[in-house]
Amino acid sequence: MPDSGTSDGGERIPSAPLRLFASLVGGMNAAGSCWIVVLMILINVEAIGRSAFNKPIIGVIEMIEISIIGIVFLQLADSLRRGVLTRSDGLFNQLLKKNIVAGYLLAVLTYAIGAVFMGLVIWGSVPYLIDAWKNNYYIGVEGMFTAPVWPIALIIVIGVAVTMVQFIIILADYCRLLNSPD
Amino acid sequence: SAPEIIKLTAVDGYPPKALQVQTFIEFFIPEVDKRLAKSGKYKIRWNQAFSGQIVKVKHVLTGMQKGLGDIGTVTSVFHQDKVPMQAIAYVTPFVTADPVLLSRTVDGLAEQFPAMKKAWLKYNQVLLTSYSVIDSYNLFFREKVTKVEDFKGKKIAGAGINMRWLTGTGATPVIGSMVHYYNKLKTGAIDGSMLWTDAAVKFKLVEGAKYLLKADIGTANSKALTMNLDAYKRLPEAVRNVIHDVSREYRDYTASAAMSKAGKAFESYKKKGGTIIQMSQAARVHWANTMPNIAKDWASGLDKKGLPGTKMLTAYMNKMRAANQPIIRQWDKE
Amino acid sequence: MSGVEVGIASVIIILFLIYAGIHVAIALGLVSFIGVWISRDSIDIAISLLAAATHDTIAHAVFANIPLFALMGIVSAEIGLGGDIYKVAHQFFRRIRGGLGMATVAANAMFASITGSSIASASVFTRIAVPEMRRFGYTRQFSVGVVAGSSVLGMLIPPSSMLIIYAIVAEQSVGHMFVAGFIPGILLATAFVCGIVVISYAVPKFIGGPTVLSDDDAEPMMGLGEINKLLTPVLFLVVLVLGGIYTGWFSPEEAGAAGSAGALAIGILKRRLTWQGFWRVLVETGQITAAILFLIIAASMYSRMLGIAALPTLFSEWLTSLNLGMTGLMVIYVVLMVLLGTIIETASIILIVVPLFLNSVEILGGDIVWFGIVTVIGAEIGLLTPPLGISCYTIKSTIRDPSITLAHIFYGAFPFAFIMLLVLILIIAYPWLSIGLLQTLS
Ligand code: NA
Ligand code: NA
Repeated sequence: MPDSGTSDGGERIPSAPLRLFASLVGGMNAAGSCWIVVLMILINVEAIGRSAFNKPIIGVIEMIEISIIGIVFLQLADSLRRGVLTRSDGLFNQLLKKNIVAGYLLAVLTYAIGAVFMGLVIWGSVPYLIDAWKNNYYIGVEGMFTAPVWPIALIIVIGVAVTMVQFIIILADYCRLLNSPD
Repeated sequence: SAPEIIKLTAVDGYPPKALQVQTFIEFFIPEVDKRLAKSGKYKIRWNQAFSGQIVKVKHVLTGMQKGLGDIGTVTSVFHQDKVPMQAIAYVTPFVTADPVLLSRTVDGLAEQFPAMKKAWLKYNQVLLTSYSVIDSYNLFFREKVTKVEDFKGKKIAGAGINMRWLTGTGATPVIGSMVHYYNKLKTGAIDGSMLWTDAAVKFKLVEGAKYLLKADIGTANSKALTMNLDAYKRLPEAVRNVIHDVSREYRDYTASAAMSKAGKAFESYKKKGGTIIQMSQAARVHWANTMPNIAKDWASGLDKKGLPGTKMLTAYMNKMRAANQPIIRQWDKE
Repeated sequence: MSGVEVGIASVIIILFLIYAGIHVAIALGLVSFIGVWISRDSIDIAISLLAAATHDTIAHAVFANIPLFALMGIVSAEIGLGGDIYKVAHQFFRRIRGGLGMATVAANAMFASITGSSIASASVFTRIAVPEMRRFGYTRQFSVGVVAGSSVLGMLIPPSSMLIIYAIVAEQSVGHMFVAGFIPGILLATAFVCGIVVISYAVPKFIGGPTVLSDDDAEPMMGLGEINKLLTPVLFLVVLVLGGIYTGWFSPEEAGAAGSAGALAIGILKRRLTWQGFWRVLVETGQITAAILFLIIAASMYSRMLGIAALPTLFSEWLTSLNLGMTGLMVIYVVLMVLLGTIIETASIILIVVPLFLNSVEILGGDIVWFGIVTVIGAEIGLLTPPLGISCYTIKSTIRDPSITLAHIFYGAFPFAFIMLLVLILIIAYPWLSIGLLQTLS
């Protein structure tokens, strides 16, 4: 997979928007990584507070649920960029050896399908976000702990949108390779 | 001629072992089928997608809103942000422990206050019935507990909205899923838990919590049977009528089943080495009066949103008084 | 299209797309979208399915196990704890052919008691055991295959997120499920070790590695003091995590959080953890978490699509019409688990299949706890089988050696999947293997 947006083997200097996008993906990954530490600390503090001081943190379950979604969708685009998102590339590698154009075509198709799918998920998720924002949906128990739903719906929409753009960037890189296969 | 086939997908996140799903399968579906077969014009082809096949327990409502299921049993107590009027029994503890009466009464309120059905319509749902699968909430402790004063400093686990009943008792509420109570009780991570006896028996809590404090806090309508509006509109009128009729009977059937299951559950709790402690009337009165008036809070919150909260509370309490329920606290009259 | 047609067509298309190199999650999600569109004749409902699964599937505290135990595992690896366990295990097995493979199984069995997920096990031992086995000349496929195979112990030896999910579906006590998983877990680990012995003599080429070990080319034996020094931090973590869970002070997630904090503390005390190392650990934990949980979301889209196409209902009706005995039922069950396991993820299999069979099992007098262990082992075989085998994918996404392909991993894991099947048959035939300990205790 071409190393999109970060470096390009010296052939091409990434344009300013691409560099900006790469730092957005990197920044989201960093935020998600820090969130894992926050999650770990939160759960530890709650366990200690509950057992040692008889003071559990009310709402810890809701905070955990929010955290998992936050961690996943902040890091999804970076997982794709670094090739960690699971795919079986046996056929692709075979093709690259035998017929490089067909191999690149298959790659273009793969990343195009990925971008389309992410588009479908955004299409379905935006109404969730609008609904949650307009109607003040919350999780938890009123009078004890509540957290609004919209921030998490927003993270999902942003995470999926950035992943879609990442799919398109990798796709564009393969298109470029297709035009100059050497 | 051959009957017209109607496809309906029934959903819940809970498995067929959960009472509302069990009675849906053993009563609702066959009863609807039987009545439709009488006229022979229509036949429903059921897709029974329970156990979270399509939607998880907390997402039955949003799933049905989007048409992922046609008819389903919503655990309305999870959706205080969407259908807060359903919580009426949760904000009025120590009023009734009769699930049949409660379920019928709440359905009556839905007829009397159209806002209640309108709340569901906003989510593209037709409310068929609001009902209870719980005989009464009680407490299950590791150590002998007889009165509210004994709660002080004890960690008591519960599912959420009912945890507000502990406010003012000095107990530490621990919110968590029932599936974890067994381990936590057995090992002392919590001192007690608040749920209903049939569920406590299913989760074998007696092995960790020997003492059942029978406080008879009361029943609650935690469930609602609803149908997606588009699917509902597609039904011929004759079928709609059958669905409505059977929904009411399903409500009574399920609530009665909750009572008979509870009877067996108390027996089983004793048989497995548990001790049942009846909380004294004085102690119950004391507990009810230590709580803040959560009913009034709830009602005025609804009033502020332009919903008939106070009126509903009064109507509900009036009906309970008319039915001679052993009401400990007159929540509407303070 | 009927539910059956949708079901069969979807399987074929998913297999085709995955082989063509489409990301697995995308293939599952896209086919689910099209399946719902066709079976409900509504693009809106199809879109809603994608959104619902994206929002709901992982919004549950039980999924916190994955980042937390992955973090604990990756920290342990970063500060060399896994290597320490492994060195000791190596010492015990080094005079035996295939010994490093056995050491991997043994170390995995120990590690299984501090992790609830096979994914964590697979990612940890990919970093620790694979380079070590490669260094000693073991083949690519065996090095990764033994890691994949023994990683399933993570979900069988308690704590286990799969046993928790089964307990939820079948309304059994989590504690009982944990007790019941213990002996089958040890049995499976033992069977893996025996399997390695058999293969190392029958097909030595498959394994590679040193065939003759003499005192000259072996490293010097460690003294008790050194073993002690290597194992103390690990034992501390085992006691913290398992002790925490068995005394009930910790839920599995809490144990994972405490274990992660404990591993970090050990790293700091031993001065083995740098800031750069810490950051690397976090980024890696995040990427693994995102990849795995996104796959779980997509798998959930697929199982929901099957539900909408009414496949489970049709199946249930068919099953009732067969009038099978317990043996016949179990044969069908195991075959189905293995087939589904090729393309559906473990938790989804449990969620879809258990409700279909639970009733029949009860009617035929089967024990529900026993059935849970059968289910978890059966569904976990799928972790090792292509095209979708999550343990194998985890290894692929963790490994830094590009010369090791998914094909190597699946090939190497095959003997272990086969051994699992044999152990599963044993556990079906002798229910006391799973419920005996539980009955003794209560
Ligand atoms: Na484990
Ligand atoms: Na598989």
